[in-house]
Amino acid sequence: MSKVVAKYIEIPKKNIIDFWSIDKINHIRRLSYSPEASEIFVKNTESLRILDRINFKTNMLNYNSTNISVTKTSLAGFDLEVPVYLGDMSYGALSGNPNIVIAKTAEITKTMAGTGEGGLYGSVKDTKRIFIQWASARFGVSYDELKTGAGIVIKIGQGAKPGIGGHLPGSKVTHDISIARKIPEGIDAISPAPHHDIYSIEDLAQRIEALKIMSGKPVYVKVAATNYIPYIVTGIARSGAAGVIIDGHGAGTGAAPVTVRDSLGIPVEMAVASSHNILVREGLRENFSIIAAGRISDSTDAIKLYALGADVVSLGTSVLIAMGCVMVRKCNLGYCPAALTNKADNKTMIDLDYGVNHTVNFVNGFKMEIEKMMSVLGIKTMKDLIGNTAFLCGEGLSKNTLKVLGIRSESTENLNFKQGMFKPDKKYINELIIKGEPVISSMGSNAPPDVELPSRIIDWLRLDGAQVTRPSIDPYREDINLNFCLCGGRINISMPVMVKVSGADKEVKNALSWAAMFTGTMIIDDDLQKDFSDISITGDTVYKYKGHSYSTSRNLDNTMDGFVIREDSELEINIASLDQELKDRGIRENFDIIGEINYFRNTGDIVKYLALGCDSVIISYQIFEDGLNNSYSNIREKAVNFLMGIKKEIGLISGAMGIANLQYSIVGNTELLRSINLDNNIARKINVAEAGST
Amino acid sequence: MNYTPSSCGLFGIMRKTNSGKISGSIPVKCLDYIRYRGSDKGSGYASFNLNETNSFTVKIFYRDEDEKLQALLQEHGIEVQNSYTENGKSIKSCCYDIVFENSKSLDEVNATLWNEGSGRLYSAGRSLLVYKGVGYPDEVGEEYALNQKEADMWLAHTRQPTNSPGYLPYWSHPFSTFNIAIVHNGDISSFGANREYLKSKGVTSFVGTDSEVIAHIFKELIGEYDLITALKIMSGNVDDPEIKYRTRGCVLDGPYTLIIGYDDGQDIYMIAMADRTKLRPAILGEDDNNIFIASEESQIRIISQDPKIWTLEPGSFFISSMKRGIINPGRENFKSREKLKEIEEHGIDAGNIDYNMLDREIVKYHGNHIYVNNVAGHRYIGMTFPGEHRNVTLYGNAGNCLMNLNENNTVMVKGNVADDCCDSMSGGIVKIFGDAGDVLGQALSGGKIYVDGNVGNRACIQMREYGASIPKVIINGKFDDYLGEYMAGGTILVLSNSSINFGKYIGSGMLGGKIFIRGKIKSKNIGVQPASMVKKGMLKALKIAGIIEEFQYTKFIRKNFIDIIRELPEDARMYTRKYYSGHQIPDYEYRYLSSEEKEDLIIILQDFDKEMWKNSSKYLDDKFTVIHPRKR
Repeated sequence: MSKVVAKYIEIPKKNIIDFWSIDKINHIRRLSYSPEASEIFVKNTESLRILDRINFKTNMLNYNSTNISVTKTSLAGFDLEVPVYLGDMSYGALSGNPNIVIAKTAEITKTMAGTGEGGLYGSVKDTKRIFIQWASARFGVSYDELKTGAGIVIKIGQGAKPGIGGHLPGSKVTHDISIARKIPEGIDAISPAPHHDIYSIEDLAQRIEALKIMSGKPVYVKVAATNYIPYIVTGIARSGAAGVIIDGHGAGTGAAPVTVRDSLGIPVEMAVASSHNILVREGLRENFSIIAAGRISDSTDAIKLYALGADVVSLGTSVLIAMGCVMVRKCNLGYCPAALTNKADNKTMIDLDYGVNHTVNFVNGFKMEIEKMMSVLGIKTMKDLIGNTAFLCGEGLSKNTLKVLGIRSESTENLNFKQGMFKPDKKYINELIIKGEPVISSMGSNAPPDVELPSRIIDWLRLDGAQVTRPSIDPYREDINLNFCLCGGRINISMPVMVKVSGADKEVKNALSWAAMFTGTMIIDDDLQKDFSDISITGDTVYKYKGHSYSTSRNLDNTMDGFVIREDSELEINIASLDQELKDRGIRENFDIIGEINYFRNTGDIVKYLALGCDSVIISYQIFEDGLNNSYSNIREKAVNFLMGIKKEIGLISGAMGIANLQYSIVGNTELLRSINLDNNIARKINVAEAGST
Repeated sequence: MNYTPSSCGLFGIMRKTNSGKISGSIPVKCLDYIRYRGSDKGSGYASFNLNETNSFTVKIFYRDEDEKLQALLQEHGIEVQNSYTENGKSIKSCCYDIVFENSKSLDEVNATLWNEGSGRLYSAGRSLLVYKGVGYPDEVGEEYALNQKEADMWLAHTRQPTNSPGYLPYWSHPFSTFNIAIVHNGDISSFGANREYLKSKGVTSFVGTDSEVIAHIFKELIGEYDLITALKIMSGNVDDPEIKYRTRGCVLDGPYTLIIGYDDGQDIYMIAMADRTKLRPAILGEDDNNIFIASEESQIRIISQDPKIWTLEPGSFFISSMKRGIINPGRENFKSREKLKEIEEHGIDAGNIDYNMLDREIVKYHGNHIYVNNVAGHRYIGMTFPGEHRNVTLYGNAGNCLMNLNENNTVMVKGNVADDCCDSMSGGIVKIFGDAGDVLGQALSGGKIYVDGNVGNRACIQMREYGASIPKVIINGKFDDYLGEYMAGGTILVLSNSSINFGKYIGSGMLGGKIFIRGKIKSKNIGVQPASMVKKGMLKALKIAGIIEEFQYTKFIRKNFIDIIRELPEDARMYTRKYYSGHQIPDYEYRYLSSEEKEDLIIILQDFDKEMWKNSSKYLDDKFTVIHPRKR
């Protein structure tokens, strides 16, 4: 007998800051119970998310308006009652019935649904308002299936993890999933990071043409919002696609490496505004749809995105919440209290009627809220709304951010980069230490500056994710070169991270030194230890290695081989300015710049320091010790896990950025960074462009 | 910030000393043949004419009065001796023979022009002239009347930009500086770092493409190092630690295939180079008169009767010069792709059918067996009838995406096939009598693929089985890198003896199925193993901890990681396992086949022999390298 879930469960108390706050969940639940406009023009004044800092001009709101506004639009030849796309959650990530609920909801509400990459479950294939996905692993694709829906989506990337492929653990690959995906049962279903037939725009154009010839259906391309998104979208528009799904940072997912999820990608609002504007400029906007995805939590978010240039918004996490999700973030484990992302073994499932009723109500309520807001704004049709920013203004947004958005601000002040106190994520470090593998989590990011409060400059920076013009590289199974060559060619380390063990207890020092040797990197110590003299750099104010020395002061003395820049509140500026100064003098290639840090949020920080100008980063033993949670057993194994975990995560990021040789691509290459509404003076000092800028 | 990644089609042709000059109509024809790889947003050509009396010529796109430009050159100590103007479609091009002393002066002029927004110097060299414009290859060829010009060497490029103003030719290829021209298909992830390096060397003005940076980097390197070292530095393959360190801003990373044209004063060179993963095609060719580099095989075959044709090896370079011929063929022990004899049969003539329309002609055709003659790079064949039971024979060279999603058809190719053949095929049979390009049989979940010749990179990746469907692939020739990557089922059988050069990273990420390769494979080429530097540190640490003895250390240090794993004690493996926990390293044996394996393989091999007119069943008694997933 299978257990059936047919009502909402209580929302557990949250002890973390979550974008999907209890207020947000309750709003969705209210709509799902009864489809009436519940909350319009929602204000999140505390939030630093750019979309929340876009306001409606008060003089343009007429609450007494009796205008009738219509939300109708069309997509892939279908009329939509409201421009909503129920986005791309696969059979496998979801357990079957939720997939049916989503497809049926699209039929009933006259919207559109995306199937994700797992094939079609049960009666999903009998519905018409679906986009079939063609992803890198080709799971579940066949000639018949590709012709079933309204269109085809080539999935290149996703906002939750730009540059990383899907990963369904073997434990979730049940018999039913194996049939639907045409893969062996019980074995990990891993999608390659890139499509191995799409390495460039002309390859993409080829695959679009092939799929169009085959199916006669319009083809859409789904990409993550990354540094070059406006150019990538232009390329997609030129290559014969009917539209693009732009998936922003913070989007939900069944499983993603934490470090990639938090460190890569830009907000969808910046990507949409920028892409819309460049398409208009290039004369490519007509007959091309922009679907905005990632962290669209309510109708207020949606209406702002339409105004910035989205034709349609995609709802994912909010649809799950309408079906009963309480955001416990355990999708990757196959245990889901709401029976949405659980293992598809038919033991626990949601009731179809319950699911459909709530989700249909939610979409209809969402539509009514948009109608109501359009009426208040005096806008009659979607055509008048899309790309019309006349009623928007910014508050607390930098000049560069406003420029990308194409709106003005009512106040000009920039935000102080230090908004909160830094708190290390002990749970993350501990998991790294216990497993020695990249830390995996589920659902969207809560990283600063959008959700958690930023406390350092790098909290305002994101790394690039590779796609279309440059493929991402699978770090698990391909050869990514993380070796760094330092000190005039005398030091070769297997990753750009060394460990400072000076001052550590003997046990910790020994374990980390041994682990450094095992993983092929170096230590920094007060004195030489017998066994580890080959891998030791020693000293306090001057670091020495076999007659070569590094200065901890910024004295450009030619007898030195490099500089160590220690942590302070302007570490990022100090790195970037030294890098620049050495370049200006034409002598950069003779020196190393090494950053030294006592804490990090996750390994994404290390890669950001490299991009700002570091040739390597020294991390303190304290990071390791903090993560131990006072458990000193098997310490040598834990130390190896810690360094191997860091190395693997750096490999993941490198691959996701499409970098095969990290040292050559990353050092001082601020082109691979983007800032998210960072104070413009600081952005200029570290030479980092704004997200979405062209 | 400008950013214009390039994805494109390339062509290069150089005459041999005993042959005549090459008409400009040739590169136009060969580039226009693959115009679908580019767009109307830009094409370009470079000609090289080695001549000792050549003066140095620069070409400048310029919006303003000529006099102003000449004055600017004079300000920078550049003397104009002779001048003429080409009137391009969108902007005038001023061509000057010049004399100058300081080589930096050209960079300075360019910086001024760029800052003013008045123009761009785009061609500079003794024997070199660049012609580039906005438009398709034939349009730009016509714009400059290239059919009335001839040269010793031509490079050509058609471009698929993702962003450019679109009305000016600044962003078109080739890019040129000081006797160097390059055309590039790819996207350089290191370009920000390379640009920073160049800035510190005084090159300050960029139009903003990654490709332009390559020409400048090459110029910097060729001034200091010999040609081979320069190419090795650019491709990240230099061994000398000090050079490696000092030139770390000069390494190109990211996917690229590029052609460099270069005049050293005595000779002219045509060079092809591809990154380690070789994600963009590079076809090489030679006949009695000329040497060729192309994106697609058909580009060479339309102008050469019986050329030798081969492909560039991943991560390597091809060097040829007019006086010395082929200096480095870009592939070891290669066997040229043969043009298979065409058999006269009644059937479809593909000769006049557009590159994407052949499939539709085949569908219209009635009858059980369909013969198609003169196939030349046609794409998407089989795309609209995967579920039917047709029997198709193709004579010539099939283009990309042949028989994708095939379920039941039988297709025979008397010739070579390009990339992405049999993607997502779940049944039927495809027989290739020539070579197959890159990514053959991706996500193959059923049916059979037989290849008489060689296969490119990433053959049979993600091949898988489910239920009773077990796909089978037999390769008679050799393979490039990543054979059977992410494989999750099925059988790959490679018949050619492994004493010849095979690809690397075999079976990386393998989860299921088996790969049989006749003969002994070098074990370092199986899976993705840690670098030897890492292995050394690892063994040293194990020795210090007393987990392995001195004698074991001495023994292991000489072996490949894959061979050490099974000999390590369990308490060492708890650490070393971290290096293959992501299935990076499959397991393997070198041995005779078991009777069970023989029973399975003989059935398929007899079928192969019958279908491909071979006699290979006897090989089953030989020793094989058998590669399969590592037990967890």
